[in-house]
Amino acid sequence: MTDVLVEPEVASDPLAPVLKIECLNVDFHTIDGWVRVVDDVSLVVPAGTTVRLVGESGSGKTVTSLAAIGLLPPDTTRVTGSIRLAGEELVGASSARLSRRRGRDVAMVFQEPRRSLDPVFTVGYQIAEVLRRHEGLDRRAARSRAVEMLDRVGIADAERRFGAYPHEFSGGMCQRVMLAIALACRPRLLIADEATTALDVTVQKEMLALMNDLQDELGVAILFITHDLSVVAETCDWVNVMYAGQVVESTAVDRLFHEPRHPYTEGLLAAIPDPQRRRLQAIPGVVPAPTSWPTGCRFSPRCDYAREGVCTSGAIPLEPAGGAQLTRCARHAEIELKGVLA
Amino acid sequence: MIAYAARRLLSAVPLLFFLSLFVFLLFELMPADAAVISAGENATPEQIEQVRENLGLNEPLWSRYFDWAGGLLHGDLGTSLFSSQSVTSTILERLPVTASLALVSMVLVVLIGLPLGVMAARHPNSWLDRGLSSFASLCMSVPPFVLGLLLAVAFGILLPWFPPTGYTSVADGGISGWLSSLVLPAIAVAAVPIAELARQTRGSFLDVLGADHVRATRAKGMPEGSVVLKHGAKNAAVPIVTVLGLQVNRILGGSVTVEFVFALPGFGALAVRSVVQQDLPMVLGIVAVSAVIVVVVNILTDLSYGLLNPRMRR
Repeated sequence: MTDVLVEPEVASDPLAPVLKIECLNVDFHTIDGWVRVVDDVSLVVPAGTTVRLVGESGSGKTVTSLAAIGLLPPDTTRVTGSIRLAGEELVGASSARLSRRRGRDVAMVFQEPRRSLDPVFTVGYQIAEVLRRHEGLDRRAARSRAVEMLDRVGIADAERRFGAYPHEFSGGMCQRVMLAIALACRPRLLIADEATTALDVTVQKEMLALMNDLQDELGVAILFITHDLSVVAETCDWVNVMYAGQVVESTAVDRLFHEPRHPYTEGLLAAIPDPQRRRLQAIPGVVPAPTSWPTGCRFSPRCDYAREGVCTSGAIPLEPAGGAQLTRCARHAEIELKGVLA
Repeated sequence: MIAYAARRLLSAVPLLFFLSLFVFLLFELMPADAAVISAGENATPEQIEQVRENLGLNEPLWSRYFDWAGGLLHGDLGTSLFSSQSVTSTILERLPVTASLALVSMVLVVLIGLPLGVMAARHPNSWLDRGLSSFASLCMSVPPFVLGLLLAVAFGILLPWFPPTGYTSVADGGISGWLSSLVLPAIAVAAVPIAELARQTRGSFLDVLGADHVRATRAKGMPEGSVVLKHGAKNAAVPIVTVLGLQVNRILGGSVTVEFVFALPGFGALAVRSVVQQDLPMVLGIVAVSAVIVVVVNILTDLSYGLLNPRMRR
C-alpha cells in the first residue's frame, strides 16, 4: 500500500463516510441564465459500502456524481453546498487540487466503455499513466503494475494485451480496462455511472461480480448510479432515489423493495419487467426539464396519489418515514404503497 | 504499418503517370507554337520550319510524350526556348529561394495557427475566440499579393524595418540577412494558411475536448496540460495534419505572386516570367515539378495518419 494523506478525522474512524454530500446545489449557465439542475441533494457513502443513486434520465444523478469528482466545467456551472471526500471539502477547491484527488482517492467508470478509452493510446499506457501520475512510478514499474491490473480485471494474456488499442477490445473488455484504470491507485471511492448499462446482460453480470470481488479485496466504497432497479437488488446497501434534481427517497435496499415510501419509487418498482405480468408498466409522462419544475411536489403531475393543495403548494421536505428511511412525499403517512418481492 | 506505407507509395506510381500525361496534353491544347516563339519575331516560314524540325515538333504526339516523360524520369526537363539553358538546372537554381520562403511561411503557420486554434478551442465563444474568427475571415479575404504590397509599403518603405524587395541568401547575408529578406513575403504567403489552420485546429480540438474519453482522462486526474496537449492533440491531429498538408500547396501557389511582388528570384517568379514569355518547356517543367511536390506532400500526409491513428494502420 502506498502512503495516502488522510484527514485526522477519517484516519481515526474507519467507519467515517468516504463521501458526504450536504445540501448540494448545482446550477448550469444557459442562454436563459442560471438554471438549477441539482437541488439540495444530501447523501452519504460510508467506507467500503455500496450506495446506489437511482432515477430516470434527467433526474440529476450524473450531474451529482460529476460534482462529487469535481468534473463539472467551472465556467458554466455553479456548485454550492458541501462535498467532503475522505474529510476534504471539494466545493471551492482549486482545479489543480481536484485533479490530484481524482484517480487517486476517487475514480469514475462511465457508461460507454468504448468511448471512454482514448482511441489513440494503448490500453496499457492508459493504465500506466494514472499510476505514474499519482504514485510517481517510473515507466517500468508502472508497466508491470498495469499488467497486474489487467490480469486482475480478467483480461487474458495481460502481458501481450498491454500494447493493444481500445478498438481491438470488445465493449466488456473495455469496461474491464476502465475498471483497471479506476482502481489502479486503490481509491477510497469508485463512482460507477451506468457502468453496466451499455453491456450485454451476461457481460453485465460478470462486471457486477468483478466489481464485488474488487470491492471486497480493496475495500473501496462504490457509488453506483443507475436507472435500472433490477441491478440495485444485486448488491447494494443503501439506495437514494432521485427525481427532478432532488433525492425523493433514501432507504436501505430491502426496505426499498418491500416498503417504498414515495409514489415515484413505487412506479419504478412496477416498471421492472416481470415475466409473471403480461404488460410492462410505465410511469406516465416524462421527467420535467429543470426550467419547468412544478412548484410543490415535482412528481405530482405524474402521481396517482397527488392532491391539489397539500402536494402542489410549497416545497416538500425530505422527512423521516420510519427508522432511517427518508421520503419527500407530503402524503407518505396516509397512503399505502405497494412494494415487490413481498 | 510497413505494408500500409508500401501500398501508399505504390499508389503514387499510376498517379504520377496520369499526372504527367495530363500536364503534357494540357500544353498541347495551348494555342502557342513553340517553333514560332523559339524562332523569334522576324523569322521566315522556312526558319520556323527548320526550328520545328530541330525541336522534334513534327514527331507524333505519343513519341513526343515518351521523349519528354523519359527525360522527366532522368531529371531532364528539356531546354528553355529563350535562355537555351537546361530547364532542370534553372529550376534547381531557383528552388532554394522558394524552399526558404515556404519553410519560413510554414514555421509561421505552425507557430501561430496551432496555438491560436488551441486557445480558441479551450475557451469557445470567449473574446479571444471571436477575435480569432474575425481575424481568420479578414486573412482569408485578402489575396497574398495585396497583403504583400501593403506589407512592403508599410514595413519596407514607411517603416524601413525589412528590405522591401530582393532576396539575400545565407551565404551572402548570414541567417539574419536571409531571414529578414523573407519576413515580409512569408507573412504575405502565410496569412491565409494561418487562418485556415487556426480554424481547423479550433474545430478539431473543440470536438475532441468534448469527447467522452477526454472526460475520462480528466477523471483519472491527469493534469490539464496532459489532457489538452497529449490526449487532445493526438486525437485532434489527423484533420489538422490534413489541412497542414494542403497549406503546402497553398504556400506554393501564393509564392507565385508574392515572389513577383517582392522580386524574389524563386520558382514562383520564374513561373510568372515563363508564362508571360510563353517559354513552353520551362512552364511544363515548373508544372511537373510542382505536381510532384504536391503528390509527395500528400503521401507524407497520408503516412502520418498511420502514425497518428492506430485505427488507420491497415
